[in-house]
Amino acid sequence: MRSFDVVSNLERETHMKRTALILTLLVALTASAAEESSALLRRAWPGTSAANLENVGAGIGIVFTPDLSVKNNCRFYEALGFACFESADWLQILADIHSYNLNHPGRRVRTLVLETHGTNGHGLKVQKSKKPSDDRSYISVAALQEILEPVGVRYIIISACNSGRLLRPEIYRKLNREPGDKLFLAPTRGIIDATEDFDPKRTTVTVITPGTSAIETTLVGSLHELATPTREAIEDAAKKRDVKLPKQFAISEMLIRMMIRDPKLELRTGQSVEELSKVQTSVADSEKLFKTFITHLDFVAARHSRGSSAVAAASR
Amino acid sequence: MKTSKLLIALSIFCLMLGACASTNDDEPSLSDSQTNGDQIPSAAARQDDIAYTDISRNPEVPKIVDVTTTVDASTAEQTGITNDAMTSSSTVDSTTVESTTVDSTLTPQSTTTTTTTQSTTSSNLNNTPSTTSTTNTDSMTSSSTTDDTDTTDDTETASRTRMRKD
Repeated sequence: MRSFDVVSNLERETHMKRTALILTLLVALTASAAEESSALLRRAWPGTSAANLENVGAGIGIVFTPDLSVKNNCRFYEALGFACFESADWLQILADIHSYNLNHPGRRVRTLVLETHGTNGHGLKVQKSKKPSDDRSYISVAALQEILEPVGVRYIIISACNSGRLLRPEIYRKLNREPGDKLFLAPTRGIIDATEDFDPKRTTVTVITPGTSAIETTLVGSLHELATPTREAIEDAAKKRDVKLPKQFAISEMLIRMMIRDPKLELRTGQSVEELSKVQTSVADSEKLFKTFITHLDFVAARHSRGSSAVAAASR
Repeated sequence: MKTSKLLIALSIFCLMLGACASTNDDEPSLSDSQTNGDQIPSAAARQDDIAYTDISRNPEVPKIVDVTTTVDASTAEQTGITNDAMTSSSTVDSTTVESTTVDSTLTPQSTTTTTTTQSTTSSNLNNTPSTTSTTNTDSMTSSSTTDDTDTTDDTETASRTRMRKD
């Protein structure tokens, strides 16, 4: 009888240990996933929290499709230290990135952020407008990796709708010309696919997508929304780079989240998604996020201003 | 006994997993971000590291296919695309929200800008909602570095343009 009790106690103890172990493993895995997003962003976009406004975009290139941009939008980003490219022709964009990295050896693009369409996950699209005859081109994710690797790009962050679907094996290398989606408009400037020689296992270019594949949103802001010292800091940065600032700028919610290092931002690599999502941020949440971005810029400008004042005082 | 050893081994694995998760490269310092010293090698080193290729001349560069220089109405019909589908934009919407903006950093003449409008939908990015009611005596002048040719007005702070990246 006593030996039965001993065995029973041992079993209970073992069961409890096993449960505790499983729980510990689950907690560790969850923490690991959250940390992974943060670490991934730090690797792809280092230094943004420490940089002043004119160097926020150092080493980062942004690609805008013209219809998700505003007039002279790139000048705003160039003032902040980004390399900015805007065209409805992918070949032109790739050539411009190539040229930029050749001509700016100290500030070459290492990470590229794509502010483009995802065409419901059927292909990365840049276009002048939705008019059928307007300039428009597509590229597959693998083609981007293949072409940008020798140029020196190491990370591609896709901020496009349903970006996880772009990694589906059936269109990862070569896009489907007839996906049966009304968003897939005529490719008046062509489609670029990867070659047969491209080996995804050997590429050094990491593709990063949002944790949840959904409809991404771009917001339009005005420089007048910034605090005066912030605006002056950006104007100074623009002067140094001989850039004339626009009055408006376009910025995606994902780019905002990356710049402010939003802990809720989830990023991942190499995982395709099948499901087509129609989820989009609410207007109220968009506005809240934009205000946070403005506050962030004001904070960075104020921090740098304080730092400069302290240095000036110390040198006296 | 075997179970205990297994549990100990799993615990060690678990602890290692936790340690791995918390081991990350630290945020580079200000000097790092300004100079990119650790990520951008010298020009000479870069030339060794990266072979820049001419995109237009490299035979291995992906080929452009399916280039259509002109698209007429019949083409659009064949692909199931109608002009109506193009023009009735569902991806570009200019949504107006009720908001109150108080900019205390402006000059004393600056006042509260209060704009209350109804939601509007437009395919024109620069379209300004027609039902705005704005009072703004912002006396800040544009800097010489700001593009004066833009057709922007101060109502943009209350009327945020949102564009779907579909």
